[in-house]
Amino acid sequence: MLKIRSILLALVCLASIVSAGLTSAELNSLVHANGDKVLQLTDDIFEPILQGRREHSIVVLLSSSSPQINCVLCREFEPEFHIVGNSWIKDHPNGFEDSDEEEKKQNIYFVHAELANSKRFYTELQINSIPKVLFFPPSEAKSPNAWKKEISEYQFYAGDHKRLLISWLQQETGHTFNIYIPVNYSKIAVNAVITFIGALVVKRFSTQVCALLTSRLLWSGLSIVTILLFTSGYMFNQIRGVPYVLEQEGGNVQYFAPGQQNQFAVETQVISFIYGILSVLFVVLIKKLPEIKYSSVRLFTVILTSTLIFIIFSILLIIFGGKGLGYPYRFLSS
Amino acid sequence: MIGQRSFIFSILLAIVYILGIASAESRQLDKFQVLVKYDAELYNPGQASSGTPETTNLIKELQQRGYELSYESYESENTTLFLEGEPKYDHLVLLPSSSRTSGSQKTFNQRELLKFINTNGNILVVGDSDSFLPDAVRLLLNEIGIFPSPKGYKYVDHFNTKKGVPQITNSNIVNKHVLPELPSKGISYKGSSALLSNNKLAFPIIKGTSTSFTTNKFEDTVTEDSIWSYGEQGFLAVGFQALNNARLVWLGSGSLVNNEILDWVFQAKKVLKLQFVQHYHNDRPQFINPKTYRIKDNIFYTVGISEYVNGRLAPYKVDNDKEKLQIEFTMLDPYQRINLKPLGSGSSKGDNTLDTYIYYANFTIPDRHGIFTLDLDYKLNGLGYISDKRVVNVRHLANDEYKRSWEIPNSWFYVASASLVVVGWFFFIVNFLYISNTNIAKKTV
Amino acid sequence: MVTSKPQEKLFGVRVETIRSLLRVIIFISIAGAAISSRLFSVIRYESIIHEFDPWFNFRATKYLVTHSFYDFLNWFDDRTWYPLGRVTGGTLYPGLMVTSGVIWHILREKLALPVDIRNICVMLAPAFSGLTAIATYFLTKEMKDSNAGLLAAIFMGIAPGYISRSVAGSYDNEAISITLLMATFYFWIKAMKLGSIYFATLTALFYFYMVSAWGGYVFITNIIPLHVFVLLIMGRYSHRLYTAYSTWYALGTLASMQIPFVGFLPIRSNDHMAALGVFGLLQLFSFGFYVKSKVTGKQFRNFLVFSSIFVSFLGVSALFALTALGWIAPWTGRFYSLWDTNYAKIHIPIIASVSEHQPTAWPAFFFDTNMLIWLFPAGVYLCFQELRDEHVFIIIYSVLGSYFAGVMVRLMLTLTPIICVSAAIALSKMFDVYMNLVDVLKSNGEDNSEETGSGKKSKAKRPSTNDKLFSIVSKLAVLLSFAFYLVYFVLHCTWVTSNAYSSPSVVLASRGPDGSSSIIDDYREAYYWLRMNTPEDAKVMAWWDYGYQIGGMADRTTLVDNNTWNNTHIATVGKAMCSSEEVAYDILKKHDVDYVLVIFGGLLGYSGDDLNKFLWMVRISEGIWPEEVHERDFFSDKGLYKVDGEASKTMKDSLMYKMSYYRFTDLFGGRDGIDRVRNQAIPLSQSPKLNVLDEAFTTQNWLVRIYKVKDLDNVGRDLHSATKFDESANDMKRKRIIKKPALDLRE
Repeated sequence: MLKIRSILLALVCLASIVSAGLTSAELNSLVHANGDKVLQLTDDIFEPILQGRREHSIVVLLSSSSPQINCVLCREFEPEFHIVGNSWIKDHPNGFEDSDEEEKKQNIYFVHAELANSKRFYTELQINSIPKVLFFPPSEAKSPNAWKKEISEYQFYAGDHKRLLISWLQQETGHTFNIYIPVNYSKIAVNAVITFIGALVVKRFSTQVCALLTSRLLWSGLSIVTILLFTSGYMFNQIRGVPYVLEQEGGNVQYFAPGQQNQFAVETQVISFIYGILSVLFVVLIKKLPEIKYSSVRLFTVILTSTLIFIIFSILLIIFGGKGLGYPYRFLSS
Repeated sequence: MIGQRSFIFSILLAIVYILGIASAESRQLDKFQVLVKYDAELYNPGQASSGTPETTNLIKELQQRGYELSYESYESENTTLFLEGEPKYDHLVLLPSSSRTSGSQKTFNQRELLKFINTNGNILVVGDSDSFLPDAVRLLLNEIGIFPSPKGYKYVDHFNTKKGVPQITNSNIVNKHVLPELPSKGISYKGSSALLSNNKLAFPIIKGTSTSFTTNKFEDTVTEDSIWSYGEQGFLAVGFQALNNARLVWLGSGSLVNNEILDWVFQAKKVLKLQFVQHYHNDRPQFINPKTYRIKDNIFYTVGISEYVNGRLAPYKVDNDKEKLQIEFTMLDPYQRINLKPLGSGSSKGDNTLDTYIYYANFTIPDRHGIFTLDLDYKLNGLGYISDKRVVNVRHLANDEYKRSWEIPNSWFYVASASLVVVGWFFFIVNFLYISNTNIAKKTV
Repeated sequence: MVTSKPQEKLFGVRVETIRSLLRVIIFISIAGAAISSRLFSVIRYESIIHEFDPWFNFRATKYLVTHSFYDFLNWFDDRTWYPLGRVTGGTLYPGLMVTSGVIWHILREKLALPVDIRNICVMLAPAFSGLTAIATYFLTKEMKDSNAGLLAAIFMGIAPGYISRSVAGSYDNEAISITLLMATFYFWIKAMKLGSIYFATLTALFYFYMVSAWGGYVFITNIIPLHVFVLLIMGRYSHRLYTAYSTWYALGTLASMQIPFVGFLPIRSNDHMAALGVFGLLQLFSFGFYVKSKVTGKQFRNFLVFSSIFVSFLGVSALFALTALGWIAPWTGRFYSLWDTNYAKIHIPIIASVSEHQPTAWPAFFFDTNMLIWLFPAGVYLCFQELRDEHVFIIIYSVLGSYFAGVMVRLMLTLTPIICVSAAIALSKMFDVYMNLVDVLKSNGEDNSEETGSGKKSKAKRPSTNDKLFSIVSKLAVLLSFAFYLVYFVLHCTWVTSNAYSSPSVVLASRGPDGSSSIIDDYREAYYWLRMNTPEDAKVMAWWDYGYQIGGMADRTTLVDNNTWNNTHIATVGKAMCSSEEVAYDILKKHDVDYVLVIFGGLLGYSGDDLNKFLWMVRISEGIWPEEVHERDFFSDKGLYKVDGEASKTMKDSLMYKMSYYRFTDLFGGRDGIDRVRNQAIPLSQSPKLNVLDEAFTTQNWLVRIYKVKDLDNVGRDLHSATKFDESANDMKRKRIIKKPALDLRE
């Protein structure tokens, strides 16, 4: 696939030298070279696509999915953009053909410029913030850099992105858009198979499954794990979509977010682990250790467990104190 | 009969509402203080014959009215309109000037004049095509939306002339409240005209004829630049009444001065007074102006309005359908907008002098609770403004003001089935405990 | 247990009596600790109502004690939500006000103690926290024993998670609701254990009290059915369960419908359907058991399969049909936001805008419960070990409570009690094991069959002196370390309470550079100014956060307040704040607004000011007027929220911006102003001009700024040109040429 693409690209670039700008037909072939009908913009092809005269319009999404940038809106918007793009191509696989008598109808191509792949494109346009959706209307290309000026920009408002994007595009182009949300057949198939196998297993090992379902251990484990996760801010991560850790400039990694109202995803793991260990140690202390027969061993293990609890609790306090607030209590100074 | 009762109550409990005209009224016994600003080159108050006949005529009129006249030249350096923040004069007459500047810019400028209006002072401005209006006066007029043509511009009408002088007739009168008709059938008009902005408070009294225009070029070809106003968009006399009922009239020429206009601008006619406002629940007329109503109550609303005629208050009766009084029952938007119906003349003081006319409206409160305003807003050009807002609460039904269940036929079915269940349950218990339970009873025995 | 027989005596007094005496003393000290740790704010500031909602509750209580209960019930409030008004009597939970009203009357009439109603309101929450401790004791006692109960009571008394909502002055619904929550749960457990109609009725009674006091009653409405449901699945159906639940549900539902605000919700809202469903299920179960006792096993199996399929099909389709027909209200928005956490963000900005509805980060959990948070899972584990019916309740409550607390900071409050109970169970188990000194104290010669608990090992061999020493050392080590933790826990709770939860937020404390503390009383200064200097019927527009305070402290009519029932009205205020002066003036006039109040922290560095909430105003009004208000327009070209020179034009033109920075640069003597909250410079050149408002009052630290709305111009100009005319006073230059004005045609 990649090979075909690169060959096509080479061809296309060659053509671009002649006509300075890809024609609709060339773009069509590019579009259909891939499963995803939204073109991925790279630094080598943005000029042929955008420069020069063109009869079609181009919609470009500038976004980044890189964790360093942590653009929440990008992640939210990107799939929606792809759905709109693919739906358009599905309706008009070859664009408006010449046989269509409606002259005014211009083709639209959807392009996605990922920051990592098209740094030069970003610098050319002097982009300071993402995400952006830019609309390049058909152009006479009076000057070589004309495409940089004939741009209209989509404004991000709260609401259903697909619908907002479509209404904006309808304003810009006058076309009507439909949305086809792709059915993920593989997912359905996988689900069906899993359900089937599940049912089969339940039927075959009904007694074991029953035992499992009534297993106190399983349920207590499940409940306690859920409690641990929830009390260490798991829902915060889910709702806010916070990054796992923060990589600062110079390669330093910050694991703990400052401030009481904030946290990174890794903190949930660390804290739930600490809580879990403390709980386990405590249960061991009251349930298991008293049953040890040899008093010397018992003494040793009890002391060991207590010390462990003390140390881990101290670590917890150090982490908590590190969140700011001027919390005054520590067991051990870090 | 409710109407009758309210009528009696309104007479007994009339509350006197003093609106903007209060100050004018309180000094009625004294002489009105009038300041005449003149230009020494055009008029000398010492010599009766020094000014134009129109000016002399105006001064004579004013004197006849018994006003206390003071004269000050525009050059005067010590003109002050206020003393300790209070206006020194009731009215101001501004005659044309030969110069655009005036002497005391600190105390006689457009802001002082505006302040004079804001403190209920009335102003008569007399213009002229051959003289200036001082800048202070011009800027004041511009501020309220009147733009008189500058010196040199003349009102021209080649189609309605008498001896080469443009004629205006009764058909040029726009506002009959101020000027019902011209003294003579047609008068010759030599003067300027004004443009008027869409300020709602300023209104034309006399407009130009449709064939007229105002220009400063009489020999050469007229160009766009040399024309101030065209046709009916040029106004020869303009009235203005501020929200506090202070009045101002600009006249394009001294020849337009007449009694009716002077009466109007000096608050001697078309001054309205709201004597009282009352509202009450139809069934409880003894509680006047309650603070709270309930949804779907019927409100009876009355007002008494007087007009100032010949120095005393007289009933104000609307005889024109377009000028009917309206009451709005408003919460953000009007829920009711009703024409007030005439009820008859009455007295505001409780004696037998019929000095006020009573109007009423009777309506049902909508099924919506909230804080409503009874909004009487009567603002017609040429008439004194009347505006009154009464805020009332409209509350919801209290918990014991709904119908009881047995009063609603639909509920009988449910009430019956509920009581059936209760009775059935009782018998079930009796049966369970004492009748069918014989086996157990035997066993325990 | 130290004693096993009741007739044992110590110093001639029965041990049981001593024990009760001790218990009472402990209770009194727990209540004392709970109450006194909530008094920081009263001691530090004064006896004052805190924050926002309490001001409304206080105002409502004053109305109740100055009017009759009938008036209170049918109260139409014309001082809020102008001009809509609020049917306050029918839209509040009256429990709190009635409680303090009753206390006031009793003190006044029965005890002849004329206490100011304000002091009752201020002290109500601490007083009820003492009762909460007792209710928690009884609940925990049902779970384990009275030792655990006492521990839970003291935890409940001083856990910051509960203190945060119940310090003196925090006169809010939650103040009494947690008490009622614990009491309801205690009676439920009792009723379920005994199958007692008496206790079930008490449960219903307390449930009714809870419904009358707090919207959070839905938590009970769902958790009790869930408990029953889980028990049914576990095959633990019993007639006791049937009796308890049926009694509670029938009585409780009927009782809850007596609260006007709740009305028919219990039979129409989906939030309550679980309870109804479980009620039906229980009837089916009991019917099933009845059938089972009459027919053979085979027949019963067939009967079971068919009837269960039929019934579940019927139930589900009925639920859908009724919801579709609109007979059952769909889930309320706030409820949705609990499950689908993105729902609020997309659909209801007003819910998302409340900081109490934000998710909870882990430090908050630790902050509010300290070491209990890691004892909590251990306690749940111990419950699993025993797993009696009541332990199932603890487990369900723990899991659900953790989830809710994780989604919404506010619900930390409902999680705290169960954390205290679980942790107390765990800790008391530890004390049971390690405080049992019987085997150590007992002499060698005694029969070791007396020994219990941890003494198992001694069955194998007689304890030697060495063993005893080891045993003592190990026990001492554990006990001492936990004693240390407990002391630390108390220190932590005190520190948190004193530092985080004792500020009335009406009065702020600040520390100068030299460490001296000073009090910032701008809010009250402004409200008092309003009270003293404006007409009694003046309408004050402010963002809804301050509605209750203006109503309570300034006693002036407000447009919107913290009871956010009308999104459109709030959006209108938001629109006035974020629009240009001309648009805003029309809105202000239409709503008869006399004064506009903004909170501005730029001078003081107070970050909770209106400019920081401004985007929410924009978002909420954008929701209603998407054509006129666009959030994007308020960001600078680079997409940043800026108030300095780079601020967008829409931002600079907005009424909020102008009101905040009006004359701000004057303070900086000819230099650019520095906003200390946003750390941005306000250029001298763009100091805003106001045309439609006059500055009426600005407090000492500029925290509150009050503007008066100008009247319509007397001579009919728009206010913009009127201001221009007034300003032209300063330049007396004349234009020599009189130009013809460009006017529209006169109509």
